[in-house]
Amino acid sequence: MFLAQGCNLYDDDYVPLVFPDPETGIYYVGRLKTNGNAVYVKGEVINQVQYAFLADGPAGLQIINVTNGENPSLTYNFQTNGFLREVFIDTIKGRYYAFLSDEVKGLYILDVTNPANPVKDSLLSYPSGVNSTGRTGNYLYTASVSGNVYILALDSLPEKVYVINTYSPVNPVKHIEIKGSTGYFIENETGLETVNLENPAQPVRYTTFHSPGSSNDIRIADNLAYIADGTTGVTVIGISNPAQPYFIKSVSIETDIRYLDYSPNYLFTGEYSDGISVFNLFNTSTPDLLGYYIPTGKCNGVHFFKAKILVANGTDGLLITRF
Amino acid sequence: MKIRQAYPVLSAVFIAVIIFYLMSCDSGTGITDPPPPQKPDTNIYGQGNGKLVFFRTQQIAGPVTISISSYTLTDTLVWQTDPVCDSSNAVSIILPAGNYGVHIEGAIFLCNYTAAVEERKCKLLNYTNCNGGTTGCYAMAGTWLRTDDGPCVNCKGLIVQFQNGIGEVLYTPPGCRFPVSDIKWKNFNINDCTILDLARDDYGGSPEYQAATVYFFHKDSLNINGQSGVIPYQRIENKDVSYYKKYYNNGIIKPDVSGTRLQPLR
Repeated sequence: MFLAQGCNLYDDDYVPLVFPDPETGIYYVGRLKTNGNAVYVKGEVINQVQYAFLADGPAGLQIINVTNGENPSLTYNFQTNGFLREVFIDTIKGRYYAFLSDEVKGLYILDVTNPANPVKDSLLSYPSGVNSTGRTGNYLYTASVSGNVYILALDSLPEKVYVINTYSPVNPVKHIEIKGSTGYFIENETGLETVNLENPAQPVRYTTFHSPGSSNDIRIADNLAYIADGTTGVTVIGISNPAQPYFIKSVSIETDIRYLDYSPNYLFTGEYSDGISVFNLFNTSTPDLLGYYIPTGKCNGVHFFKAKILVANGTDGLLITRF
Repeated sequence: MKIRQAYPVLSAVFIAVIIFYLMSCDSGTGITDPPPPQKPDTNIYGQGNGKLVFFRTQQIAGPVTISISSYTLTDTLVWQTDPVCDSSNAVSIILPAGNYGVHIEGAIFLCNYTAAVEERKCKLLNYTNCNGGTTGCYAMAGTWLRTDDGPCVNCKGLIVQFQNGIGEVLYTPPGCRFPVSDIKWKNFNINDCTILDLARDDYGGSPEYQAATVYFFHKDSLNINGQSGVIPYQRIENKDVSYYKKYYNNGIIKPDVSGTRLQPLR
């Protein structure tokens, strides 16, 4: 056409090519807008129904039926009257419990065996609230905002739980991740603190490790750990000996990586204003960007659950995508 | 005078009786023939019937049930040589002549035939190795182990659990492109043995549900035959399907991106 027209780019007959929207590798499925500020999400199947447990900041806990990802529906809202930072779901004695880390009010323990009608079991108030919890065996580690990690015995549930010991981390713990008999505590300033939990009632510090970035979140995969390292990207460290973690590499995609989720061979990241991404881990030490999605709102916690990527989407509530 | 007047009436009555008598006789002559003797039926299976005899020459695990017409037979025998059709204790059935669907099941064995029953005849049906039959389709509920990579490197060993109408990845080998909790299969149709099988590209992206045919070798062994190739699976655990729940996105892909970003070089 250009030859025939002598490359006259201003010819009135010229019709520019229209390219379809680029596919970015992650696809929208559905959304439920809530009235809080979603910062963390976990999926769980209860009674054959898929639920997202959304820590919705000032709006407390939102329990959302996501069985139909295109049309998520609110099952229950539990107000914590503080700011719900994180939710951890587990089963004890055949019942489902939600451990709610409220950074103002403390730790709520809810029996969510019937998600449509949760029953509050306990509220453990701490003066400055709770950031995160993690469990091994019958022990729950509760990271208070002020610094101490309280060790609770869970075998008394559904009766009241009680504190059996306290662990003093190097710095206040932002997030607890437990794999086997090792605790991985993400802390301000310190970065990562690894803790020996072989005697779960008596944790013993292994060591600390500072990643090159801001150490926001961590997931464990066999002998490797992946750290959401802020603008540094994803940092991969070797943890075959948790007493001597070592740096392997950081992979940057020029975004601010704040949250992570791991499913074998894949890594999912929440990048605040920069959307979400999925990486393949076919080479486990080199996360390889596979796709991304940039919605409106902030992208916080992510959880890959039943082929859906659940995203705590800030004031936009729960976002469901897939890849 | 009165007798004279009665003659016509008496004559009419007499003639009516004669006509009635003649009409009531078979021959019309008033003389009846004896019925002809019936020919003896030489069909030993009964009029219009035939016989099917089922046998196998190799052991099959578990009890073997043979369903034909509305009957269910059980076969426990393994023959060294073909039995004699009419003089053996092989499992058999006598049915009216016609075509019948035969469904044979063992613990894992699965075979279907269309058998023709012919009047007066005894026919042997050797179902060893499902010779001449088809395995057909079978419920997929349970846990399936991928026994070969096929086009996806490192995916031998992938474990998919089929439950409630959906095949979900339970375990993925290192480097396999299907993550745990991926929905690998959906929309299984037992009537035509088709399914939608999730394919991904070399990097794990470009998810696409491809129409595929499920070919059963027996209850616990199948090939998924689709656009991406032929992938073998073995069932390693059975579980009942309690209900079907279709929930997943209906295969609709909805790109919805409001921004762009730099991508690192691969």
